[in-house]
Amino acid sequence: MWENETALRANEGHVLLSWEPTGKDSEYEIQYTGPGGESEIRYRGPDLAYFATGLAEGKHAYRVRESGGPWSRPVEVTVNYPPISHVLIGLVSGALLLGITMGTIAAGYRLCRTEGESGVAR
Amino acid sequence: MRDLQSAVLDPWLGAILLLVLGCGWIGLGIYWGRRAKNLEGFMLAGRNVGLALAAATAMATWVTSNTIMLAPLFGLKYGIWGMLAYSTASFGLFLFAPMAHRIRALMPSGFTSGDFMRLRYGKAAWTIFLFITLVYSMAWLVSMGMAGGKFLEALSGIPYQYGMSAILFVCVVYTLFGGLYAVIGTDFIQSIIILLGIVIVGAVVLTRIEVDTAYETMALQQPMLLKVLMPVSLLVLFNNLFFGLGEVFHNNVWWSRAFSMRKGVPFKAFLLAGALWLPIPVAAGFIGMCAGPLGINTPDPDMVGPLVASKVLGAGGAILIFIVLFCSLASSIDSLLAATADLVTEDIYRKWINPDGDEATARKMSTWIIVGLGAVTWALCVPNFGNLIEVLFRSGPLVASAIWPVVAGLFFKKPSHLAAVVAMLGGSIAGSVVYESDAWYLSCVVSTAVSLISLVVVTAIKPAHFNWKQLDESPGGAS
Repeated sequence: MWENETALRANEGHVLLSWEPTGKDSEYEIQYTGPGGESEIRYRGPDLAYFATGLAEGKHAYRVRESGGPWSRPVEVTVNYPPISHVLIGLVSGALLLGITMGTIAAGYRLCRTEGESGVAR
Repeated sequence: MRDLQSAVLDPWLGAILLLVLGCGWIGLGIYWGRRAKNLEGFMLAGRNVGLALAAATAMATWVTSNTIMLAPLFGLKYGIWGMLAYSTASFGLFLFAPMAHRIRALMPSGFTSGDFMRLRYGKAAWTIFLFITLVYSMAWLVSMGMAGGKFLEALSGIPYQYGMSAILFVCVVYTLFGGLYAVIGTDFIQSIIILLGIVIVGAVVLTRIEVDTAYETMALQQPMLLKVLMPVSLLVLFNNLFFGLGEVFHNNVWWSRAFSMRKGVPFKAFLLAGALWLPIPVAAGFIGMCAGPLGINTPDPDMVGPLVASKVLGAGGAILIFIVLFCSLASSIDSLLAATADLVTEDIYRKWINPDGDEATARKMSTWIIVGLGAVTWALCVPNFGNLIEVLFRSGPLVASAIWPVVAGLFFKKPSHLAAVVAMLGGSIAGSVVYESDAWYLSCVVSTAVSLISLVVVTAIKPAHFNWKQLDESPGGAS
């Protein structure tokens, strides 16, 4: 029933699950099982896809069925975020680069304003 | 689109709205376009645009379909930081303000951003720059054409190919007749409609949602959207910022606006446009984040913004979002068509193919180029490949590599031809390699950093001593 593979990686914390239709006016249910083993129905309706987002790190499982019918095999979604140390390096680099860009534009503009417009900044 | 089972509006109502809006914009475009008597009038609206129109056109152009559709998608995928990440694109407008002032002063008779690259850095850097800007402009046009087709199909059931074709046709026709006069005039009205529409939709969503319940639902079902240290979202923040800087600093859409504004206007106009634009993606991102708490499934995540608005506001909301989206698409497609046609006319046709041609021939050629660009965009949109983020963001590392050659070249004499070439090539290659790995969200930061380091190193080894007067191509100028 799933159009997805049975094992998916979602390292940005979101995944689009889709399934094949079983009939013209069918309604479907999506059952979710979290990393702690807790289960609940996350979607009931006629759509043929479900977008899971904001997933915590770990393994998540989803099953689909036509309302009242048997459950499909589960799709397992594994979420592994980049280590926080990498993120901090990225953040510091980005902030530094922005500071240099803003500082350069401000300095260049100031020089041109104070020394005339015909290009005196060196 | 992916299996959204029911459109909110009747296809006939969608078609009527499309017809009314399309005829309205074409009519206004023809009316305003009567003022374009020569090539300069057609391409740069007579270089006499005042503050109100200048700020409105910059703001409306930057509110693209991507703002209305990708900002909610960022909220849905990356939570609070995603919502804020999109708004960092306003830095592009803020930081372009002093640059626009400088551009207007150094190049009183300039036409395009390509003119600057050619005169400042020579033919090799100019050629690389033209490649970068044409790839980006086509990616932007295609992402907007696709967005138009998708939103019409989602809201009214009009098949993707028909909706996409209709929107492109309308924009090509009124840009063709009116040039930049038509673009700026329609942008002014469109900016007011967009601002009002987003404020209304955001306010209604806020009244329909109970904040405590929404928070609890998200904490349970989408916990990472609320995390302060959501890893990918934090990285997306700076990536989007540098993508925005690259887009604004290099693209002729913004340069042509700087050239078209009256002396003394560009600095204030771009600051004002940034301030007006800043809250729009925050509101749009919030709308996207509310999909989960409101119990709205998003089988096509690209459509989360229009979907939430239409579900919360019903048919009235769907009509409102239809009008807002049509305006945001039209205001950006027309600007991009006009600016890219200017670039091709001025930099490729007049400088390469037919340097001895007269103005009337160039004006005629410019209209054919607008038609050609529309046709190429349409052909690339028809297959409806990839998602919106993929189509646009792939060009991110290319445009980010142009940030430093433009900034340094505008304010400093020492950066040389070689420095600009190495910076653009190095940044583009490094950023694209990162994009193709699993870390697309670092690609623009890496591209900007490599471009900066390359430019500084080459300039230190072999500095130039550029004469600013070479940028002035007016009859009394040095060029």
